[in-house]
Amino acid sequence: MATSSLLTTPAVELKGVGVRYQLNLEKVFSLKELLVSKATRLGRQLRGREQQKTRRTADDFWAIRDISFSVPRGVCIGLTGRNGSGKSTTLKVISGVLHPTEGELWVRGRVSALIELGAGFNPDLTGRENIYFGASVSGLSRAETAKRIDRIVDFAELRDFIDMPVRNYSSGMYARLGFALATDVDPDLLIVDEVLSVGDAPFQQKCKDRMESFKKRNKTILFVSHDPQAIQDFCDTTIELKDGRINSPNP
Amino acid sequence: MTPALPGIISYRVNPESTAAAEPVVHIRADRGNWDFHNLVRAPIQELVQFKELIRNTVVRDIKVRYKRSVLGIAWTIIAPLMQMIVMWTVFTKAFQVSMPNYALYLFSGIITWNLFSQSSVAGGASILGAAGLITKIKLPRVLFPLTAVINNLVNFSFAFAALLLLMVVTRAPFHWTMLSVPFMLLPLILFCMGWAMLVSALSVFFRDLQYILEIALGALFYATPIFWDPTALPAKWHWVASVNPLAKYVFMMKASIYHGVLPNFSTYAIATFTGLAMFVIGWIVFQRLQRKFIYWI
Repeated sequence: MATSSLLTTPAVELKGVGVRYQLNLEKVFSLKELLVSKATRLGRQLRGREQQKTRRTADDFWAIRDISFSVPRGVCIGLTGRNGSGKSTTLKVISGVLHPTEGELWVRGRVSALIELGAGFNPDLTGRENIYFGASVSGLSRAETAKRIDRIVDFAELRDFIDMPVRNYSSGMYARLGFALATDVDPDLLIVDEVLSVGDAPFQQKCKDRMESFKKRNKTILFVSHDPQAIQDFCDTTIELKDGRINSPNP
Repeated sequence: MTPALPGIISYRVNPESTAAAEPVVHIRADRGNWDFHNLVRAPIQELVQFKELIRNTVVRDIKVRYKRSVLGIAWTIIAPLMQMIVMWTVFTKAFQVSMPNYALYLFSGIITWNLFSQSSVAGGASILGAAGLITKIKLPRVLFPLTAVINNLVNFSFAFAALLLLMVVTRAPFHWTMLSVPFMLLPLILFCMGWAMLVSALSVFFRDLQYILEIALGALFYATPIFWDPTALPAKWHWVASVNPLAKYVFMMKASIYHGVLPNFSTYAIATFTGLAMFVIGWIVFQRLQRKFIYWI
């Protein structure tokens, strides 16, 4: 595969990325209020689009701002920081769920996000049906999934339960299936948000092994965890976020 | 700017350097929302890429709906049949309606109406219902209202089989114009999809919309020629049938199934244009609003 540019272009690049939340969202809009604000905004836009910065500044909150970094291929990078420092927001921007308010970014290759395991599972469907559904959420075709399904089931250690509705699964089984599925779609970039603590000790070891094998195959990993030990074990380097900005990166 | 990280992390950004044949996602905050790429090309590319998910969503919704129900998929036929029998009893016995093959007249109207009303209820709630997926995983969000309509189209085809059966049982005449049903359906599907996209996007921001919709659907039912005959309508009420797009769709359907005539060209053209316009409006509103969903869901 490897042309030189493929190895040298970073897997992820962020350039001045910021996400603004509007804190007045909880406020109930009346229809009249909405129409008035839309009309004034439209009037401003017709006169030129420069006014955007002036509105609603008091209620604005930047979850992240001026985030710029790039992650080369095959590197495992840890995002650290306290609660609310913007780690998850950054991951959501990279995984494409959240559109940034400012800045731009490039993501190269197939992305799989372990943000919440089994997010798309339907409790009334069986494990097998959920695998097919979940794989298509990642853009896999039916044939591609059929090739992988045995491996996924084996990895999740759910051979005897795979044709049972996941409603009856324990939370550990649920998370194992989610992890097995998300890591088997063979992503080029794996986004992991605090999910490695699933399952019992042997399963956790399997997860770690799988993450290691990702790294060996020149895959890129973005890792968020509050566990300093896990960060130290996995990550080649870390970026520390504080109040939505890059603090001092640890060398 | 932030200082460069020693070693592995580089803060230098060289966006033009990619030459590999791999998916590259470029997201830019300041990109104009109204351009062709964001409004049309990108969402369609995404839909094509996720076609397997569209298929799976339709299949899953059908499976889940009838899981743990004894009669299962048969409900898609039983429910409108029961609806028809109740109405037939009320109107032929209590109100002395004496239209030939009134059961067929009712049923063809009911299944057409249900396609719209159930599409707008299920489609309208589809984005809020998929909140778990939308806030976690990147996917083309427009697939949720669209699959809700496709789903009801599947229901419609089952109900249509029941209609054929009803025609045999009640010895209603078969007209060759029935072959045009798919063409009568096409503008209605466009209309339903547009409507579903519009309602699903707006109801993220205004939760009241779903309650308003329920009331509006109740009123619209009576303004649509389902149990009454539009040709018997007093002149002062003619505007109802011309303002209400659903009246046209139901009327066209009944013309080809019940009356055995094809609607004239201008009726069909207006219906198609209305459907297309609703689709375009729904699509644009949806694509404009969809980035904000995540803040409100």
